[in-house]
Amino acid sequence: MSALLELEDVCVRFGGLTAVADATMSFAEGEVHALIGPNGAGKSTVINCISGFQRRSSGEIRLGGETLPHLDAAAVARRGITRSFQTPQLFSRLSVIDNVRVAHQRQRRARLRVDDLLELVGLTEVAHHQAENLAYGQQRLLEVARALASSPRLLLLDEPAAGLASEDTERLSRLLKLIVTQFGVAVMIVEHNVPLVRRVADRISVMHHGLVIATGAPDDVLNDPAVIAAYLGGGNPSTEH
Amino acid sequence: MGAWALVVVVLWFLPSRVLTDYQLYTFNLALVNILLAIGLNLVIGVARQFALFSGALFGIGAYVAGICQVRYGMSFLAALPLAIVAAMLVSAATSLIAWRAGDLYLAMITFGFGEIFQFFLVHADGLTNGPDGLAVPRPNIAGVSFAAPGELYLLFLPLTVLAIAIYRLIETGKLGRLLTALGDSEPALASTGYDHRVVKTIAFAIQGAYAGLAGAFFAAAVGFIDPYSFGLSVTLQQLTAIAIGGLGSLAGALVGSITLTLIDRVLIDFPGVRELAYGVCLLIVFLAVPRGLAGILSRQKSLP
Repeated sequence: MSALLELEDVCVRFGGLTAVADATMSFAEGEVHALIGPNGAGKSTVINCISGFQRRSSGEIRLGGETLPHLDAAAVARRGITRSFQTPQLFSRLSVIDNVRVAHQRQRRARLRVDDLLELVGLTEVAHHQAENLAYGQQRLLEVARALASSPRLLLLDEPAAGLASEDTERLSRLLKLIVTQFGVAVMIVEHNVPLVRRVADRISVMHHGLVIATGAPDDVLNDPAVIAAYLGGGNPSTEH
Repeated sequence: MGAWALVVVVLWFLPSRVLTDYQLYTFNLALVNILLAIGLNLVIGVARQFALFSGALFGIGAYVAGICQVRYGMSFLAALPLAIVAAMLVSAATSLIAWRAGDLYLAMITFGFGEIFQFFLVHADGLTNGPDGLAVPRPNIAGVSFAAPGELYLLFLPLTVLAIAIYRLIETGKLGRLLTALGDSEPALASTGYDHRVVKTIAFAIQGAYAGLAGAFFAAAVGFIDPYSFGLSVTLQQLTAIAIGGLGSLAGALVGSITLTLIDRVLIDFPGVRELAYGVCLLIVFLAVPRGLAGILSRQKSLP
């Protein structure tokens, strides 16, 4: 697996506060890379930084080996990096299917048809409902479908399982497996649901106070004493379900 | 489809035979107001960009059409596209402000633009004839004169219907989807790869085109324009119209602008009362039917 996107010593500072300090990580095609850590660790800031919603203060981001300049969010999206948001950002007055169409209509060679995308996330039956009337979990799934409609090379998901019922979480984890294996998409997922992360992630990075404190295979990282102390707490995470 | 054909036939044949000139004149003003309202509806109701300079765009359309005819001897049909393009370009250029400014700032800046425009109309005597206004000739197309309100009505109606049909195409097509998306979530729109600035400029340009067309109609319908017809009160009236009708809805914009035209005609002799009436209408709508008149209709339709 070759690295599609690399972060090298990326810093994001807000005045005196360093939200992300010297973050170095990479995302490979066909791989799910999970970013975990306590609230305020800087996970969302990393996503914002990669997706062009937040300028980095220093450091370098490389896409396919080439330095990615400071671009606005739309330009980043056009280069194949799409995202979901921590608080769902839907086109609330549009129907479910039209939400997906907005992203889909830009694609010349879309990977999937709109109907197939809705089928994948299980929203076919509510395709013509107005997006604002969806249940919270469905809103999150719709965001994932919309992000996929752009046929991304790198998909950034900010807590996609928050508020999802267990069957929807199940669907999400199957979906993630499918898109990395079938389409070779690189996925970065920020998530608090550790069992889900354990199931889908090929690699995990842990952030704490803006620093990446561990990176590696799920078993190694989740059993790392520093990670347990900073994030997972006293209980043995491997017994969590 | 049959019902629509019937409506068109009735609208075409009936008014010019049974109504008085004054009533037909009011119909013409209603058509003008419909064009203004649907343009504003696209920007404020659909794309949620709080631009408050309809009055100025309307004035650009009216003055460009008037000046082209009076000073350069152009025909109505030759001046019409120029009026549309001029208002469209000014509106598109003003959208550059919306690229950066938030809602409140955009509202204030566009409001200021409207005031400056009126100042310009008053003081650019050489071009606009200043506060004395400009007498605009009646349209004459291929030797046929459109002077009486009934004749003008037959000229305006098909063009207005065409403009509404184009609006409908925009609204239901890819562009309409983007404009709604812009109004709902700019970050999400960006994440799909669309540049919000381009979408904003397109929305403003379309509003400009509609206001320009409305202005050219207005100049022809009234036969006289002065700077005071294109101030903030026009913008407020159209804003009230689309709010009464239901923000974002085409049917709402139509119903709202016709309602407002009638209120306006009844209260024409009471200048202060007119603005007060807009305010009262707005209050009633926001308190009783927040989704406007179109909201009531669609709710009844969806009942079993």
